[in-house]
Amino acid sequence: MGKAENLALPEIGSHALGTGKLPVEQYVSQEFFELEKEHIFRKSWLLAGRESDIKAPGDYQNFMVDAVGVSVVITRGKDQKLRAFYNACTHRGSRLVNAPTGNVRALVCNFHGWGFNLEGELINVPDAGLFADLDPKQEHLKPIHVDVWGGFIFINLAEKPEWTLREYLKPLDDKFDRYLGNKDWSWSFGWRAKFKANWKLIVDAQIEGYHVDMTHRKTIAGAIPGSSTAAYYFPESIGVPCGVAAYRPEDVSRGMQTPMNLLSAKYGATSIYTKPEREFVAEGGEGVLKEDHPLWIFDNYLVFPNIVLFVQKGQILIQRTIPLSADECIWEVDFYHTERPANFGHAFNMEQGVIQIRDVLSEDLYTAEGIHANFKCGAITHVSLNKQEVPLRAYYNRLLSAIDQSQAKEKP
Amino acid sequence: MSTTANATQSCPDIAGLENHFAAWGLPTTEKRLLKRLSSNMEEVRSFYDAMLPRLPEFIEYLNQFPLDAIPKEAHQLAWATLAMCEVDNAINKWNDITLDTGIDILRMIPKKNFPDRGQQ
Repeated sequence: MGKAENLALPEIGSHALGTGKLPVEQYVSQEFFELEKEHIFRKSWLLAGRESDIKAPGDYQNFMVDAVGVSVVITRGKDQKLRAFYNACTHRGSRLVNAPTGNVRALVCNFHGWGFNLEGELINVPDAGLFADLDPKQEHLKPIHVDVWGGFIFINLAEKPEWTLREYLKPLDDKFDRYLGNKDWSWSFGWRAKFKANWKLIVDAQIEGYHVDMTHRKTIAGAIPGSSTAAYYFPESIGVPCGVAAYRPEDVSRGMQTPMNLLSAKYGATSIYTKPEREFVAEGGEGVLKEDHPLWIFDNYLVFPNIVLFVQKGQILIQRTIPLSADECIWEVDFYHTERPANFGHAFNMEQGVIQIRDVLSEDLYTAEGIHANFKCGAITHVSLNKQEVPLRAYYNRLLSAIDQSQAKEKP
Repeated sequence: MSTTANATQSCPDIAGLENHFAAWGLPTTEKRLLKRLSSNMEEVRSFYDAMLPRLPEFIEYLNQFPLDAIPKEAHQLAWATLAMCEVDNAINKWNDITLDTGIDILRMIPKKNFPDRGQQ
């Protein structure tokens, strides 16, 4: 491939999904939030955790789907199989676990002591003779669908999910499953915060590159020029409606590269805003990483409804936005790396990368609460979107179709 | 690794930097962030200017040890070196202690692991 051809960037976006303004009710309407709870959070595959955090038999994670008040306990059985149950004792409904994670031999209710094995079967009832006609087989913990892809655990609260997880995640295919599921990944750092804003506003902030030059003018502007981000949308996909790719500028001196950035770039590759002199090791990225493009940094993908997954060489970033109500959400990001710092230089690079991304994220999060208030008070009833913001149209379309199709199916 | 091939490099001469080390040689990113937020630009600049020319030498020195075996007497040096990452943007991009185009940075609570949601 010729060099010039090599440097060509993908199309910045598209008008194919329309050019009209979009309404904003879906961010502030209580009725819409009720529909989201029923038709999205109870029916979508939701990213709940990392399989490597539940390694040994008895390891569990307590995962909350706050919008619908469901607590899920995900455990690994003695047979090594991963299972998920409602965190609810079938006797009188008490929670079985309260800590976010732990290891147990059995799930024992703290109320009266009913005990369930890791397969969810009722195996112990104190003074069972006190019950008139207790059939332990009828008292199995209520199961929840669980599956693993790319090393991540997903759950689905539907009694019968409409799609398998793999169908749901197309066009992300087995190559992504292998790359992201590589056992070398380990959690490095992350943050969480609460916002008085609709959960989707925080997703929106990560699925277009139009904002980069202005929003990030005091941090990374120029290092990833807005014009070097490209919008994707996948109209056929169920669970991955859109995404964004980011490339470095051809002129690597663009953007403010401080002496600290340049020094840290000698020792590692954590900061995505400075071209590193070292690269992360990352196995199995064929078909996932665009390493044939010398300027490519990352692709991100919206995993519907609430995850933005950033994929690059040796680094994964996951943003989760968890609705608490129509007007309030929890935001979280988590970073995974294939390498742990082994010497100080690498740790120094990691520190620089952590702080750079922290400050950039603080800018991404700066607008959501103001936008939410403006939508809520009626100051803004519609928004304009350009071709680079086409992922927001794809997200909106997916949101409406999830609700419309579910409603249509339920009608007699 | 090239830096470890040379036998042990001796501890850098830190004469004149003792006060900076005492102020900024704090053991966690969160403590170093709070130190920046409670400093004025003059203090931050004085720390940055004193440290910057010495950083490559400090990093090379610290690099000769496995990360978990840096001698105790070099911890403050290591932490003060890491504190330079915390003041970089204030000096080079904002000319201010805080970023006025982002949320209050203290709203971002560091997580301990993926499932960590803090106290419920």
